[in-house]
Amino acid sequence: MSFNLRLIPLLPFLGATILILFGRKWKRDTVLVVAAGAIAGSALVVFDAVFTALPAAGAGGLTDVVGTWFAAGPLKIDLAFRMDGLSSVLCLIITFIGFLIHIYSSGYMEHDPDFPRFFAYLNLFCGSMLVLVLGDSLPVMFIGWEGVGLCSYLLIGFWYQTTANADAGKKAFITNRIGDFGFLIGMFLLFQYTGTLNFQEITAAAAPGGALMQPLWLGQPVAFWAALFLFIGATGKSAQIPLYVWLPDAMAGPTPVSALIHAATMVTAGVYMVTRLHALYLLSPAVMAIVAIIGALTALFAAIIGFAQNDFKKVLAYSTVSQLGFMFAAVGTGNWDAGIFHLFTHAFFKAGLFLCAGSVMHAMSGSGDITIMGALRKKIPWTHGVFVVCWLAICGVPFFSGFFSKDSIISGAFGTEVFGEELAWVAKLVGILLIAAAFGTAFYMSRLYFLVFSGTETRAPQDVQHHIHESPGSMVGPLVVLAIGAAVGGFIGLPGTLLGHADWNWLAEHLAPVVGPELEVSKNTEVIFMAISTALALGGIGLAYVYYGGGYREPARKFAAAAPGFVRLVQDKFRIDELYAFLIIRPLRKLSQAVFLVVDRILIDKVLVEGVGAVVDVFGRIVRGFQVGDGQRYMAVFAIGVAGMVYFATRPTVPSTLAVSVNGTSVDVDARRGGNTSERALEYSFDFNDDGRPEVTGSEPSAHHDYGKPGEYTIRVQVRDPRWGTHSSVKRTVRVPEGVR
Amino acid sequence: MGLLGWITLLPLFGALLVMLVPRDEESIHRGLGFLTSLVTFLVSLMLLSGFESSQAGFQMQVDKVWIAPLGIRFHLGVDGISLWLVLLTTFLVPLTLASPQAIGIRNVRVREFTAAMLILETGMIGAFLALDLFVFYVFWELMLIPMYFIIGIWGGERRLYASIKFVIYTLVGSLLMLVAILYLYAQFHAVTGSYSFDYTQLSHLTLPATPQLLCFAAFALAFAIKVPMFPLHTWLPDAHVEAPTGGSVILAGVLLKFGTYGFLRFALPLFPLAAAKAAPLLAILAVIGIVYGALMAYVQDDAKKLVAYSSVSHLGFVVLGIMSLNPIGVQGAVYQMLAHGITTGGLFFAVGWLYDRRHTRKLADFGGLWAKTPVFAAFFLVILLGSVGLPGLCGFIGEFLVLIGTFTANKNWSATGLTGYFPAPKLMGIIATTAVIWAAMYLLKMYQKLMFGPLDKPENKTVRDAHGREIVVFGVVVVAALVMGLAPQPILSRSEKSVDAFISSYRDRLQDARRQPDAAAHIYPALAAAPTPSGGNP
Amino acid sequence: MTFDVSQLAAYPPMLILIGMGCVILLAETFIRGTARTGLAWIGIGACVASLAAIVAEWPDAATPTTHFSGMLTVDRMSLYLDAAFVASAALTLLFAPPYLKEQRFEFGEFYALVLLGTAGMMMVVHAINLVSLLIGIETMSLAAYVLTGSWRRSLRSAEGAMKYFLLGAFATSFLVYGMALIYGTTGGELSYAGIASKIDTASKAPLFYLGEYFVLVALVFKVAAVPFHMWARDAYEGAPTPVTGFMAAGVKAAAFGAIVRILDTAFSSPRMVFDFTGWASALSVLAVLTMTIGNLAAIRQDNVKRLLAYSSIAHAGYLLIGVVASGLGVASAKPAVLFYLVSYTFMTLGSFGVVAWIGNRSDERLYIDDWAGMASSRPAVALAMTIFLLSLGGVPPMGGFFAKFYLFRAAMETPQLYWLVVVGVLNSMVSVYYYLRIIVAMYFRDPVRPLAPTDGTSMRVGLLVTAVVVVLLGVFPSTFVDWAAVVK
Repeated sequence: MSFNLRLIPLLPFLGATILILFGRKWKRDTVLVVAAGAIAGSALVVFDAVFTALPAAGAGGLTDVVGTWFAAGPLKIDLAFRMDGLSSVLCLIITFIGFLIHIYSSGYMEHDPDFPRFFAYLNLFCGSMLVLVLGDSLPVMFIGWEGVGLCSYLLIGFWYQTTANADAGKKAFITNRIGDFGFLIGMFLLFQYTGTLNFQEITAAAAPGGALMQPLWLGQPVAFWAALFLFIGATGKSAQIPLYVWLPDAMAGPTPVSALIHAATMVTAGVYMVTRLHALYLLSPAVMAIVAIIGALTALFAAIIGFAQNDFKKVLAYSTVSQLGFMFAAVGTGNWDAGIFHLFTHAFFKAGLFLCAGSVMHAMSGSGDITIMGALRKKIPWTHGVFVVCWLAICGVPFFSGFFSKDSIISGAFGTEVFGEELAWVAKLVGILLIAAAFGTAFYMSRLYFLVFSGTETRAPQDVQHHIHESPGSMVGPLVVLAIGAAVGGFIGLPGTLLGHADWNWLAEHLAPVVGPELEVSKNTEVIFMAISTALALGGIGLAYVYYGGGYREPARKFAAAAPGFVRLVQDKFRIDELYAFLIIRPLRKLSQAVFLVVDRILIDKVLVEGVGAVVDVFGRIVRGFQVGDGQRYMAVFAIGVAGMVYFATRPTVPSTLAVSVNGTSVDVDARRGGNTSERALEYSFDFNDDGRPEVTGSEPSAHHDYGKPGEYTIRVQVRDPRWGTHSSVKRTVRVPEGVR
Repeated sequence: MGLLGWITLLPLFGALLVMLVPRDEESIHRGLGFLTSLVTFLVSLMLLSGFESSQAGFQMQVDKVWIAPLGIRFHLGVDGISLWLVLLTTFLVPLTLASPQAIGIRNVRVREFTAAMLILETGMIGAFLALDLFVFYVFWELMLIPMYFIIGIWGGERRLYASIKFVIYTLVGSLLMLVAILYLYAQFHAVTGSYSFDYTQLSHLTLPATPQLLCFAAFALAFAIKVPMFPLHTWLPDAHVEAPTGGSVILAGVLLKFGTYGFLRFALPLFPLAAAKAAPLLAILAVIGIVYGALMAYVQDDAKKLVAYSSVSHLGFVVLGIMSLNPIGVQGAVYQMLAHGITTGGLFFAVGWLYDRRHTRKLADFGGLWAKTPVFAAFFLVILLGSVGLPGLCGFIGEFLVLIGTFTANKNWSATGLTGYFPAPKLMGIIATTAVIWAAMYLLKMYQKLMFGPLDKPENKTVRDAHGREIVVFGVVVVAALVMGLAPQPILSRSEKSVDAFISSYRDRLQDARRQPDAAAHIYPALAAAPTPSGGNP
Repeated sequence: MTFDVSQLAAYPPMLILIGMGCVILLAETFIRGTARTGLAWIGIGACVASLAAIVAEWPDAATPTTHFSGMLTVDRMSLYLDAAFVASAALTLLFAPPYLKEQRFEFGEFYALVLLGTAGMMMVVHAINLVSLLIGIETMSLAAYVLTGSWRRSLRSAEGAMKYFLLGAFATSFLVYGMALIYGTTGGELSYAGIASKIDTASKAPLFYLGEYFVLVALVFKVAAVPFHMWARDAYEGAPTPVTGFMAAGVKAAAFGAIVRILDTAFSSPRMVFDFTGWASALSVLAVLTMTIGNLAAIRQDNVKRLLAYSSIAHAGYLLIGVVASGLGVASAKPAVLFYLVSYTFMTLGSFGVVAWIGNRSDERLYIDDWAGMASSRPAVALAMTIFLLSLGGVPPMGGFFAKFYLFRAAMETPQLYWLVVVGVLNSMVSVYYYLRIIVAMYFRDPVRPLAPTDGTSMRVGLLVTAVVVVLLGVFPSTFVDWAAVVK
């Protein structure tokens, strides 16, 4: 069913364009009205599409074909959008949270001179993100995919005067490009074997035994490699091992940006893409296993790094990386609903947390160092309240949104069968990793909470303490809304089966047409894992309380003292950045410099180019030097010239190649020169084995000789002109073959 | 005369006109030059209306006897491939003449510069349109002289070295190509009994394997130098760095395309068998060039050199696309030529603008300029991203198509029994694809060092933002990059037929050559019309 | 042996020149001082008249006629070259007067000698008998010797003339000796046709080949082919610049005319051309040597006059390719050579004209550095020089390019010469390099010291004409090609 979907991304794009062109001259309010208006507009269109048009539409969902983007030979890419259950969820998140963030930013960026530029970027981002989720083919998705990358680059480096920010932006973009490299390869492979890049057609082509199942490399099918390369793209965009390194640095950007781009929307694009291509991924258990394991590992790894971070936003950043790991673990275990479910809930509570961070830093005059915070719950009550809700949600305390989504992921991990027999162990491994990660999450988030809000005195210097104040309404408002979402968001994905009301799970129903029915998990497992997750959450919080309740406590110090090295290692994020710099970046630069010097400057320029020039030059000098104006030498040269010419002219010549015919062990040689009509008498001498003793001599230009035995012989023919005494000769080797008789 | 004739010669007349104006009237020279090129552009737009995109062959042909005794005809024609390259030329030249930075900081002898630019334009257009190999060669060399003067007179400190290097490098190739042309001519006479340099005739002549290989080598050398392909590229950085902004823009924007265009129009169609033999080598060199150019660009500390090396990388894509020899790849190659013309031309405008403001190109001398020049920064960023190949901008389409073409290089060849002539397409494709990483690395590095970071150098604090004509020039480039990125189809659809024809004719001529590997020189397929009657033996 | 005066009627171009030459000689004694410049105009008038005569003769010459019992002939080829000689003479007379005035050795014989020398050239190409050839060569050469030495004040001029004369005499002796040998071995034949008729018997006698080669040596000496080129540098450099142009263009053209004709008639039998004693391979080697040595020597020259001298040697090399091609039976080779000679005449005279233009009495400004920045002060002359240089280098769209193209195209018709063409092409690449050095100086460098050129209206006219012709030859060569093509 057709619907004017193009409006959804178009409005923000328009907003961005207008702001870029005229924004600089406008008042802040005008700018805000345009920016927020644009996003609000597209939000309305989305609501209309999702709640009125979509239910009416069939399985295909809503479509909107703008036209052919480009076509060449068999390749044809339409600029087409499609909204179905899956993309609708994303659209809701983007427009709704996007709108909230616009409002929040108006307060947060109030005093920034580049106010219009900021909102232009935000609009641009929302538009690109919407293209990403609405795109009906990989290339169209790629427009958004790159667009959001660009916006994140621009927004991370928004305060470009600080080199560190610009560096962070560059790092983010380049790391993402590495992912895009994979994304592109994936596309190319898909096109080569399916002949299309449209999602519907790919899904159709991704049938077992189809073209995608033919083996490609290392005995793995095309599907495996295409999916794997695409997943590399996902690890870049969604900050998974090994490409997660850019996200923590990305916190250099303004906090609203971290909330919107680096928590709620952009970073989840990878999860969305994998889900979008679930049919492809399901073709290869191996790649599913890789996705799941990478996800689970990232979840745990990032959580551990989170233990020791002392910057408010850094903690949240690693938490984001970790939560994204959960989502990938979910989709990797074929638990698509859970993945999107967690994406949804996470969008709310993580955005909430980031905005709280913004609010807190706002209060702490810009500092995000949690070691100097503490006891803030009284001073900024609203922020505190919101934070508590989001905190409980992320820890997975029952009936908060995070509880449901995380629980369904973990239970799904144990319940899944996508890996088949020989890879069954993967499910267990992933499950265990996730459990550990969940516990870790509860721990470091609680640590954060206790260090920031609990306790009796703030550790900050006095002058900072004086300024601590609650943020303006424009910031608190969005916070509250997000808090509500974080609290009750989980109810869109109630484990209906458990309660015997499958239809209670709105999300699963909503997604079913796209990703198929919800992953079946038996009631007992469901219950067991609910218990486990609850235990994990409470346990984590408890342990954190023991260590940090009301500030740094004895156990924490003990632990830090016990294993200082390990703690520092964790604080330094296991020095992965340094490792990359050492293994890849620096060698690359050094190598390039060396090659530039050696190959370009020396080998090609000096040796080849100027070398040839120099040779010519030398000859020039010689020739020139030879002619010093004395007459005798002129005469001499003249005479030599004459002599040479005469000799040359009178020299009898034999043909450059002799005509030799071999039969048996005997050869016939003819030294007669083609087209030569001269009757001058010449003496030929035929030396059949080049030993200086000619076998045949005389005026006959041809001769016959029998070697008697096979082998390689060199024939030398010399021709002499008796009257001039001039001569010339030619050699030719002949093979007399074996066994001819 | 014909439309094509006018488009070709208009700039030349303009040049003569400019030379007649007294030398002090600089504003008149500028105005006259710009006007001429603008008129040329508008006239060339008429090509679009007249062009029949459903036809594959040459259209609007102009075919006049020039040097009758040798069977040389002033034969011009346009097809879907040359059409866009001509438009690119007529599009870039007015921009160049409009840009205040064109002449660079040695802002002298405006008259000569303008005239040189216009003569150059005639040379370029003529060479794109020529269908007679003699005419092609004449125009080809005609481009050389003005560009040589542009580099030599208005260039930087090492301009002498650079200009000589440019000329000698180019001549090495072109003169051997001349010999090959003469050989073709002689052979054609030997086979058909009539003399002709006409491409449409000669492209039916199939030479025996060995001479074919030699002739191809001669042509390929000329074109590979022009592209430039690794390892024949070292003239490019020098020429670019020394050339004035206008020179660099045209050099990168148009001149380099003659290498790739030459492969597409002449080297492959005339010598299919040899081309097929050499394709693996050329493809590999192209891939090397892609990565090599990028890495070299990454380590440059001179903005202009950096952009120059990026051209080596980008044109590697074009050659790769051509060698993939399937519709997607070749279409991509054609598109990449145009996109590169826009983006790299734009980048040179930008670098020239900076040089004009600060009289330095060292990245280290800049920093934090965004604060002072937001408008310029915005334009610069878009152009740069176009060069990075961001989807939605022109750079993406070409690269994307070329890479897909490379991946599927051998796919449609099974019919011809020539499968696998292209070495390891996937591997090559993957290596080439890494360029998306490199491009981001070196271009963002440049942008950051120029625009971001603290504004700490005093001389940067006084830089004045882009204004007036500068904004117009940059604006036009940016719009072009956007339009070409969002709506490439109008361009692709017009070149499609010609590209398909190129490939199919290449295929069956190759098959013919394979069918009788040791056949003497012969005509295949049969000539439609008898060779041009003018070819009497002098 | 009857000598019928009426047959003179067939040679008005030559007669006009000789006659006017004498007139000038006589007039000169009565005219003093600067008025002598007028003599030059008489000379130019003579050239125009003789050109007119050539044009008048052209149609009838389609069928060659011989006169003076097989001494001279009138055919298209000779007339074509006559035109070239007249042109070079006229241009020389345009360049000379201001130059002579500036250098203070203005005397009327100069102009007379130019005309008489030209007449000699005509004789050389009209000759179809070794005797008349000898006479022609000597007439031409004597004029050249004197003109070379005419610059009394200059030592180099005297030296150049001396060497030129000595070696020239040496060469002539070869010619005479060669004639003797041929006369003997052919049983008393000296006319080209006669020699050709006796080839079968003569070619059995080795001395006949010796004779053939001695004659060739004398001729390639005049075109300054390596290794018989050593005189060229001194003679060209020493001679008054306009004379240099005259020699480089006219004398060379005449000698080539003779070579082409003699090889085409006397020694045209395949036996003479191909392998054993074939002159084809011998001349190919000479061609390679001449091109390569000429260009290599030019590369290192800082003296423009010398540089051009060597470049003219190199051009002799290219021309030899054409000669060989025509020997190997390429129909279009001879026209190619003729066309080349014409365009070469103009570009050479033009370039030497500029050299004559730029200097003055106190300072000849012969060094490339002296030319620095010329374009900024004298753009027109610089442009003209650029045209000549590019043309010499064989860059389109100049006449020199088309000439080379036409020549190489002819050579490409016989597979034996592919290699020679490649060598030629590579050489012209090298040559571009040193021609560019002058352009670099004129355009890319800043003036070192102000110009004080000889200048003069007639010079400007001369330069304008040559430049325009050179361009025309490149852009619309058809007509000239047509004229050359009808040569039998």
